[in-house]
Amino acid sequence: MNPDILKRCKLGERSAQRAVYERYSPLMLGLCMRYFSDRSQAEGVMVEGMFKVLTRIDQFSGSGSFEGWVRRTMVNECLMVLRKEVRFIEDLSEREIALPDATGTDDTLHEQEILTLIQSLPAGYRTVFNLYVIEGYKHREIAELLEISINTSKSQLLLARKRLQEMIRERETYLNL
Amino acid sequence: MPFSPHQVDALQQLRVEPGPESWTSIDAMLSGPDAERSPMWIRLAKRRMPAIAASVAAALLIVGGLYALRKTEMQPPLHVDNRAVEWILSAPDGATTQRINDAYQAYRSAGMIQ
Repeated sequence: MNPDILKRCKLGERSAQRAVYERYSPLMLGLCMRYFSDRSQAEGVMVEGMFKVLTRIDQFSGSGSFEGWVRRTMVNECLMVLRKEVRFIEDLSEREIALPDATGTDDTLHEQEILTLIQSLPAGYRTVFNLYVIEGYKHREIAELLEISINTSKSQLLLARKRLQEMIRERETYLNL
Repeated sequence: MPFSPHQVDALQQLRVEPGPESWTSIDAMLSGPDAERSPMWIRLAKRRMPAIAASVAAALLIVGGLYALRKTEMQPPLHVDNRAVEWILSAPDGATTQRINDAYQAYRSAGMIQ
């Protein structure tokens, strides 16, 4: 991001704030839509998150990537809403969750199709899957962020993977018909 | 993992264009004098104010309409003719005497009877 725009944004100049919004809002709505299956809810969370980005921009130290800081702010905004809405199921051991044999990837899937698959996951599975696989958080960090145990985080991820693999297999069966 | 690193990267970069009302909302929130201090539920309520106002207006209209209808039904017609008799005879069960009394009071107030 242009340092001059960030500087003007910190001074509260509306045209600079608009420029930051124009640049990051499509990316941030894409992020929110991975956490919420309902588009209007995702857009509402994006609006709240971007408002926080624009009003707390002076908290950005400038040492790392601005996009990374915006992304973290947005993920926190999503989690703040999800913590109130989602109930995570109890811990399950890895042995209790039988994964399907096929563990390979399906490269023919486009991002829009993957987004649809992720959105159809239960909210708990979806949240942990997004944090671990897409955002790159560790189970320990996810456990702290969601106020759950590390084992719950692990079991949610395993269940998410299992459900996704089942859905991908169903899709392949359907396409081969 | 069910997706390749390339697919994960594509998901990270996924862009969805927001509607024009999203910036309008942020612009309004930034313009508020207490923008930074307002709790989230107040800002949400402000954003949804037109919808809330419309719902309240519709509810008031319905309640007002029902009240007016009921009031009309309760008022005896100020005519000593068949309409008054019909109004009394159309009373719900057990309310006939009440309607006769209402009619008497109304005619008396209007000076139509002593």
